[in-house]
Amino acid sequence: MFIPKFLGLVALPLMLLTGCSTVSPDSDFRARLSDLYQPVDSAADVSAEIRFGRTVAARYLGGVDGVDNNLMQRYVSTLGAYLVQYSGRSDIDFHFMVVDVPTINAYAMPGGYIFLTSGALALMQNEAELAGVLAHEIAHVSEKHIVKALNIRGLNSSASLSQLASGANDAFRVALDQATDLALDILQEDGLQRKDEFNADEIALFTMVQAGYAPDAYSDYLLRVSQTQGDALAQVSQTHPSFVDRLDNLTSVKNANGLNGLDYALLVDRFKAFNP
Amino acid sequence: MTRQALALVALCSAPFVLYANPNHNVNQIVGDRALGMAGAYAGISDDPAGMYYNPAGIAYSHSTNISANVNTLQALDITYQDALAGEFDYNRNSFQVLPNFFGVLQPLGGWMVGFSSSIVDSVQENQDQDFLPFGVIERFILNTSKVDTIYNIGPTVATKLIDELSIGLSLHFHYRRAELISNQHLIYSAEQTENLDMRWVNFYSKLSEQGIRPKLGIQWSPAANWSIGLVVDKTFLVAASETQQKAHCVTNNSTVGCLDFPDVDQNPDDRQDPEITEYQGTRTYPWQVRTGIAWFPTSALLVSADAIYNSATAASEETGYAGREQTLDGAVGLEWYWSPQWAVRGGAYTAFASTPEVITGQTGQEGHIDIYGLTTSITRFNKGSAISLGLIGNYGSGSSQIVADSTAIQETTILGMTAFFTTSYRY
Repeated sequence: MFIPKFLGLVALPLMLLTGCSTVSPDSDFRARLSDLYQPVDSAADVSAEIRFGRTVAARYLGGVDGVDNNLMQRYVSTLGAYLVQYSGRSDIDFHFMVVDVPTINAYAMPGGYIFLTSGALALMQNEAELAGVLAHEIAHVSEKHIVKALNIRGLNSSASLSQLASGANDAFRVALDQATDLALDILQEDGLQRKDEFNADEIALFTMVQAGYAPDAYSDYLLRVSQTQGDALAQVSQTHPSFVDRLDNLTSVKNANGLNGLDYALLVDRFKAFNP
Repeated sequence: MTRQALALVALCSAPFVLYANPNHNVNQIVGDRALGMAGAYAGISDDPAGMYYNPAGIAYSHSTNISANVNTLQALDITYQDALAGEFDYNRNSFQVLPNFFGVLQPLGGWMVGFSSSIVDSVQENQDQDFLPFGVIERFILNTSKVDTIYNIGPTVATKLIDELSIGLSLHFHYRRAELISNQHLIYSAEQTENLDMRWVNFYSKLSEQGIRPKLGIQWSPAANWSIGLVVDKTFLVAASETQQKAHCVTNNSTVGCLDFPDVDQNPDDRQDPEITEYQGTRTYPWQVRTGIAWFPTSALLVSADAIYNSATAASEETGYAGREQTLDGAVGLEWYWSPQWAVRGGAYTAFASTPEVITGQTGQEGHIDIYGLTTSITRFNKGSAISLGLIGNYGSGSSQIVADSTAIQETTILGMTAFFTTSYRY
């Protein structure tokens, strides 16, 4: 008889519904290899990303000043260039600048334009901590977090980053202005997605280890930032996940990968030589 | 009249019932990925084909916008063994190019909405046979052409209730168009003793149906890497009409023109002047419950299985529809990526007959043929697009009774091959 078979048909999923514990599955388990595949960017894609990032950076610099200390700026740029070797984005030139802003934050714009606030730098105690923050921002660029957040892709897409960056006509110029405003809103107000921040933290840890820096320094810095009082902390709290969650995530990554207690470089003296 | 000639008359008078493939509830497989996986898709359905298999699945679409198009080349051969005078096989074949699916998805707020057009059933049968002389028959020419297509077109909406559970609804417009033309021309030999010369039968039938097919589905992930789907749907006909025209003429060597029936065995069917009859009335489609399970062990491997239940349906005396029994069909599918840019898919499915078994000693029975199919495809992925090429092979065997008022049963085999080419694009 087909009726018992039909009941079994309906009963099976129902039994599973009641019999299984409510385990939250990995929401990406449906993604197939083709979905995860990141093809090599074309030259046009990279060029468009750089042009757009330059526009966003220029808009940001219109409201802030760089710290007037060439030696310190060169020190940060040199350290950043060293860390970029481990980023996998050898196709773009990264640019680093410390801006004279008292709030604690750092910004990564498409195309490799990275800004660190003087407020964030003032709270650091060694070069390893600086390397951790720069590596975090470099990871945002290499993983294209902000480009994905803007839902803009490269050429052959209906919303072409290349067309926006070209400003070839009024429509594109208006769209570019809107995209630039949106990018700055993400960086300064809304923040990137939580999973992207956690992803950048993880990549920063591995970059630090590859570059020879003590990975615990990054956690130490985040803990120190979380204990800071006052308005300086407001923006970074608004644009990033909670420090508790970030530190828990970093602890899990270090435990899972044997990165605890590595006696790697901190370089306190060199850091203080450029940041008295 | 000789027994053989009587059999031929019965054949000529066989009632023609115009329903595409009412004998099976699983017919066309639609969709880019689903085709290669034999339609085992209720637990997956995270692309436009999900609007047909399980609308809840599109809530998990990975790409914000997808469109897909499918073109298939279908070839089919049906053989009714010893159908004519217990000696000659009846052969029907078909070949058609069938763009049987198009769909597009778009996120809208917290919902995923889409629109699709599917050909869920399509039959195109041709028979062109010129039989050699046998018995009292000098020549028998038989030409038949049958086209029957069912379309499902309409919107779909879906949303996640929670991360692990989604619900979706497709509301498809059901449209069916069918046409059957049959010509049978029989020339008697001089050996026959009834003084008959020629018999000619022409039959034409046209059918049209309109209705709606709501389809409600849910999809649930009880654990990581697992997905279960459950779908219920039914086609409700709003309007249906069938038009038939039949003409039948018998001549002999003494009289000019078609014989009136009193001159030929007192059989009122022996002469039929062309007359058009129309039927208004709707048949009942079965309830379909589809449940599926999918396992995603890695991003490179996917295994799925579906069970498809269809309820029994009632007969219709007015239209001659004989009704159907309930069926339980199955499908299993597998997808494997050997690189991020290449994947292979394979599957197997059943399409069991929804008619009763053909019983010895009875007449006027519907054919009962169980069909089994295998599918395979290879896909190439590029930035935002995918192209697939694949094959479907199906084989069926069973019994039929195509001669009216005859207890003769024909062993029947079906052999089909479909080559399909599909594309999908994300933008």
